[in-house]
Formats: sequence, C-alpha cells, structure tokens
Amino acid sequence: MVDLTPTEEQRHIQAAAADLLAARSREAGARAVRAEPAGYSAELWKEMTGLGWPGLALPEEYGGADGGFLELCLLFEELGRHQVPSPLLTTMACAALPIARHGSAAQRAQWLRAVAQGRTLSYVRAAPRGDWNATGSDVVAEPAGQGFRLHGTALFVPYAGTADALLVIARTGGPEELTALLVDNAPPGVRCERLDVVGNDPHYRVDFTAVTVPGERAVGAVGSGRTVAGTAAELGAAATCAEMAGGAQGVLDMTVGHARRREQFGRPIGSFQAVQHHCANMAVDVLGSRLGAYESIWRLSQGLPATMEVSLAKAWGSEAYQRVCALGHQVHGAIGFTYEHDLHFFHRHAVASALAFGDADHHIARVTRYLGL
Amino acid sequence: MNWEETPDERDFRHEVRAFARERFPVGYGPDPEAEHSLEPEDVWGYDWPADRLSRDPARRAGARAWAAALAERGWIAPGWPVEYGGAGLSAMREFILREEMMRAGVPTVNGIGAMLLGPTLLEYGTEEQRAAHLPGIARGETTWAQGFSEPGAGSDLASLRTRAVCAGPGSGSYLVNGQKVWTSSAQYADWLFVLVRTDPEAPKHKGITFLLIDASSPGVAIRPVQDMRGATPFAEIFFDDVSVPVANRVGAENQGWYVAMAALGFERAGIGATVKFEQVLSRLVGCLRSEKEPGCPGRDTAVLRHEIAQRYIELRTQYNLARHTASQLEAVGIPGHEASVSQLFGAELHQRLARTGAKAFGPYAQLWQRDGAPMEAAFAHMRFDAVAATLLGGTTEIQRRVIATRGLKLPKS
Ligand SMILES: Cc1cc2nc3c(=O)[nH]c(=O)nc-3n(C[C@H](O)[C@H](O)[C@H](O)COP(=O)(O)OP(=O)(O)OC[C@H]3O[C@@H](n4cnc5c(N)ncnc54)[C@H](O)[C@@H]3O)c2cc1C
Repeated sequence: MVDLTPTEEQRHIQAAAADLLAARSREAGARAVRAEPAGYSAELWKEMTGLGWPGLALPEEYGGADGGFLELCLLFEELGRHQVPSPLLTTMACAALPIARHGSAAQRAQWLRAVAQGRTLSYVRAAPRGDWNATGSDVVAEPAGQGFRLHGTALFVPYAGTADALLVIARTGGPEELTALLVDNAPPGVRCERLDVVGNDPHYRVDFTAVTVPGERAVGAVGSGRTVAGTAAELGAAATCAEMAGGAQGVLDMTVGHARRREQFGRPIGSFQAVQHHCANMAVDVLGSRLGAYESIWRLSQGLPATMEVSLAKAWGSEAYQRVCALGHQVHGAIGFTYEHDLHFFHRHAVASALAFGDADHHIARVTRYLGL
Repeated sequence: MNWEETPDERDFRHEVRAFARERFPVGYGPDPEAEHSLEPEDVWGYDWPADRLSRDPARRAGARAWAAALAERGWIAPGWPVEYGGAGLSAMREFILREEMMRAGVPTVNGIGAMLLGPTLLEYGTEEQRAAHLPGIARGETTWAQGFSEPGAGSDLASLRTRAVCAGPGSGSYLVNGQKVWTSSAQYADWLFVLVRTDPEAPKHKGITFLLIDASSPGVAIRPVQDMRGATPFAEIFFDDVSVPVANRVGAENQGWYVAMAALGFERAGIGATVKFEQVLSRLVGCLRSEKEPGCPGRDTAVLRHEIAQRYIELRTQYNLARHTASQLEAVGIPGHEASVSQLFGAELHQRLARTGAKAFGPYAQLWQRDGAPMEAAFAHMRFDAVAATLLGGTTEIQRRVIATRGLKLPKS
C-alpha cells in the first residue's frame, strides 16, 4: 500500500536516534565540537559505532545489520535536527555504499568490515574549478608499475583530516577518463589542511604528491570512475536531503518554541498573525522537503531509478531550508543573531548543505534536461 | 514508508482507467466556452452540475449518463458506505480514483454533496436524513450547494446574520430570512445546506444552527453572480420567510457551528489540481519544443526553462503533499494540519504556474479568445481562474492561521 508514514521499525530507529542525540548534543553538537581538531566528538562516534550506526545499512556478513539506505537516512535526519557533526554521511553514502556496489569482493570484505567497526572514509571529487557538472578531475593518477602515482589537489573534502582512507576520483588517461581509487590517508604524499568554512562539518584541502596506489585499489574497472562518482553523488545528495529536512525541522521546532515563550505588547509573539504566517510558511517548506527527500531515498533503497527524484529533492530542499532559516531568524529577532544562540549553526548548515552535491540551480538544470527542454 | 502501490491498488487504477475509457459517454463533450467550474477536480470545459441542466440535449444526456455510469459502482461518493450508494473505498483508493479520472480528462460528479454534505450527515445526521438525502446524491440525481458565506461574514463566518426562528410554539418548522453570497453552483442546486442564526443573544459561535433547505421552497431566490472572467460560478441567495421543517436541522439547535466545522474538515486531498497542473505543464513543454506548431510562438529562453523546471519541482512536491494527506487519512483516520499545508501550497502554486505559463507566449499571452491562441489561451484563462484559488475554501491567510494555531499550537490571538 502507498503509505507515506514511517513503519513501526522506522519510528523506533528515529526515536532512539533522537533520544541519543538530544542527550549528547550539549557535548557533541556543532557548538561543542567547533574547536575540536577532528570537528566531531570521537567519543560519540564510538558510542554510535557501538550502537551499530555505521553498520546499519551494511550486509550482515561484514558485521552490518542488513538495514536499508532509507533506515540509514533516518539517522542523517536526526543528526541534522540536532546539529551533531559526524563523518557518518561521508563515510557511508559517499564511500562505503559505493564500495559495496562497485568494489571487488576483497575490497568489500576489507573496507565494509572496517567501516562497521568504526573506521571512517571520505570522498574526494576534485572537479576542475569546482564545477558540479565537470567531467574531468584535478587529481591525476599516472600509471606506475602495477599501480598508480597520484598528483593533484582537492578542495572541500569533508572529514578528510581524520578519515582512515579516501575514495578518490582521479583522472587516468585522457582528460575525461576517470577511475575511483581507494587511497590510504597517511603520509608520505597525502597532506590535509583544514579550510575555514561557513558550515559545521570540517572541510579540508587535500594535496597528493607522488602518492603510490597499488592497482588493486581501483574500485570498479579502470576508466569506470564516472559510474562510481555518480553513485557517491546520488547517495550523497539524497542523504544530504534527509539531513536538511531534519535541520529545517529543528529550526521550526526552535522557532515555534521561541514564539510561544517570547512576549511583547503583553502577549506571546506567536499570537501575532504575521508571526504565525512566518511559522506556517516554514511548516510548508519543512513538510515539502521531508516528503521529497524520502521519496528519492525510498526509490534508491528499492533500487529504482531516482536521478530525477534526487534532483527534485535537492533543488527544493536546498532552497526550502534556507528560507526556513531566514524566517527563523526573523521570528527570533536580535537574539537569533547572537553567537550565543544555536540558530546560526543551522543557518551555517543550510548554506553548506545547499552547496553539497550541487546547489538548487545545478539540479534545476538537470530537471530541465529531464523535461526535454 | 512506501511509495509503491500494491498490485491491488495498481489493478484498481487500471480498472478506473478502463472504466473511463469504456463508459464515458461520447456525446458529452467539454463546453468550449465554459468558465464555470472552479472545482480543482474538474477538467477544463466540463461543469457537471451545469451540464446536467444544459439546454443542449446532447450535453444534458451525456452528463446524466456519466453520473449513472459512475453511480453503478458507487463512484460518485466513493468513500461512503455501500448502503447509502457509496463504494466504501479507502482514502488511498479514493485518491487513485480521482487521479485517474483527472488523467482520463473526465469530470467528477456531485462534488459538494458527495464531499462535504455526505460525510457531515454520516457523522451528525439522523437516520431519516441520511436515508432521505444520501442515495440521491450518490445516484447523481440531486446536487447541493453550501450556503455559509454572507456579505458580512466571510473569514469571520461566525458573524453571520441570516436568521431562523421557530414559526410558533409547537410548530414543526423554522422561518428563515436573510442573504447568502458566493454560493458555488447554487443556481444549479436542488438543495442547500446553510448556517443560520437561531440565538442572537448567545456568543456568536453558540447561536448558529445547520439547516437543509429545499432550493425550490417558496421564498428562496437565487441570483447568479458574474465573476471577473464573465462566468457565473456562484450565486447569491435571498431567503424571505422560507419555511424549513425542524426535521431538516442537522445536529442540535445552536450547535450548528460545530457541525459546520466538521464539514469544513472533510478536506479534499487536492489531487485533482495536481494532475491538472501537470497536464498543462507538459502541454507547455511540448509546445515549446515544437517551435513549428502554428499559433504557438513560444519563447524558449533559459530563464523560462529554469522557471518551468521549478514549477515542475513544486508540482511534484504538491503531489507528495496530497498523497501524504490521503496516506494519513488512511493510517490515522483524520488529516492533520498537513491537509491545510497541501491546500495552501496548491493554491499558491496555481498562481505561480499560471504566471510562468503565460510568460512563454509573450504578447500572445493576452489573447483571451481560445481560437487561434497558443494552447487555446489556457494560461491566460488560468491566470484569472487562479485568482480565486487563494480565497475559496478559506483564504490562505486563514489557512496559515489554522496551521499555526492547530498544527503548530501557537497561541490564538
Ligand atoms: C470562487 C469562489 C467560490 C466560493 N464558494 C463558496 C461556497 O460555495 N459557499 C460559501 O459559503 N462560500 C463560498 N465562497 C466564499 C469564500 O469562502 C470567502 O470568499 C472567503 O472565506 C473569504 O471571505 P470574504 O470574501 O468575505 O473576504 P474577507 O473575509 O472580507 O477577507 C478579505 C481579506 O482579509 C483577510 N482577513 C480576514 N480576516 C482576517 C484575519 N482574521 N486575519 C488575517 N486576514 C484576514 C482575508 O484573508 C482576505 O485577504 C467562495 C468564494 C469564491 C471566490
């Protein structure tokens, strides 16, 4: 039956995640980890690993729980709602699941098991000029012996500083031939430098200087990097939509709470119609983005084509989340402009996640192509 | 969460599709001049309540034959129990039924009677009232209009002044005097359900009664009101000493407000509008792609393409909101404030879509005539149809207030 409400089990996952993150957000939330070198709470990560979060969507044979991508995305939604930075999305959606889909049996056995045990991965897509449509890569893998030698620089690599390995989309052969390589994130030759960015997830500049990569580290066939990158971008975008829907819900909850408590002219500001209309507009955006996110995620988890639905959800969700933040600020007044208030962490997240895996314009352009315009 | 239909639901979809193909009467064509219908479920050019009384015999016969065909399956009032002529369908099947009828380009029948009055009588009516009125609606024989608004009472519905007094001690009837306005399709209706004031002294919500009034009763005068498009989708109604049997009261005297609020709560899923929008948008895309089509000088600019894609994204969002409402109805039994979200979003999308579409035709977007205009001037007309979208069924300001106070539990002002 068409049933757009969560199942019992999904509600359970959601509630358990919400409970944990609400309890830990003080010491592991965006504010608390801002100064942490890793950019996230290693302690909470350990706890999450103990609860089986990284293994939730991995096969049992590798120590996973055999859950689906949809169930995993419920975790991203809650991470967004509580603004708890974590390498879970990068590790799972952009590396582990693409390895599960495209990697060899040996790669799956090694890396998926490692991830289920708490190892983290990151994903490097160094496109020329940061163009989301780009076909090439700024990282070049030259043939060297039985493997490759890597050169080049990538910007905006999330959680690269602490990731155990990097899934790198590199140029092999002509300007458009790409290959996905699993690269140990260890010197010599790999250097990660943290960038100062708007968002709450730590981002890095990663330099590769003559990094030796054995041939068996290619994920999928040599030259098939575009396919692997496609999977990582599609799952990454969809997962980000879940995270954004959660973030937008967090802003709405926080704003409604404020509007009920804050009094002006002798009554709660939430009783003023202009304020009510702001909140109602936020509710429209929140529900619209959640349903869009989950439609695309559900399709992906069923193995159905979802390219269009992912673009719809990302285009809509990216803009909706930013509108929700703007109205949230409006209703909060000056208090929401302070560093002390948590609202800006959501706003930072909205700006950064709108840019992850393509902004609204990028995805709208994909929709025009789909419509045949 | 599951977006996929079961084989049963898919079969049902095919059944509706086949039914529309086989049973839709050939002689019942759309009226090229029609601008009447503002019901989102209705297809352009069809206006079933008007068509069933049309002077054109082919249209009249077609409208009646279509109602009879639907009635055979209980599909005029698909959600009602079978004993009253419904089909006892679940919310999701009712959704699929309406969707497929829209896709097939065939009109729904008996909107207000089936969707508003029926559920109200099922909840608050007496057994006699149900037996007397429901089967006629379900057979497509009687149509109803909703007389709530008055010249002085729109958003503030409870300030209504049409009054009813008991004709005398022990008398079995009320005497009704006053005026209603904006009553959709009242000029075609056999019966009216109206709110009247029965206790002028009581606080305004507590002195209102819900009555069923035969439109042919002496003292009822119904005058169509012309709208900005030149059409007459609604009417004003004058009651001059109209006698209404007490047996036609729904719920207790002075409790009509609560009955009416329930009636307004029987929201439409908003599916019709979505399909209609999707169809017109895909025609627009087709039109822009076939530059050679005569009379279709579309302006295919990058900005326009971007805007069309945005509307498409919104449309799919609206489809999700509508399905979500049906899914909630099925799962929980009542729609939450999400139903208002769907209605509000759909109304505003209607207006955005109309503007985007009109843009595509440059100066040709001002052609009101359908003949020789690009896409038969669909968007020129839609721009004006859409003006009512954010008013009818409660303005979008009022919808937002409902979402804020009932949905988000913000304090009332
Ligand atoms: C095509 C059409 C069909 C209709 N069909 C029917 C029908 O079948 N039966 C029926 O009973 N009625 C019907 N109506 C009437 C409709 O329900 C009313 O028009 C609507 O409720 C608004 O009332 P009003 O027109 O008196 O505007 P008003 O209530 O005077 O509103 C004018 C403006 O003031 C705003 N406003 C009013 N109060 C507030 C408030 N408290 N806070 C913020 N803003 C406020 C409104 O939102 C609106 O913007 C129909 C209307 C249309 C256009």
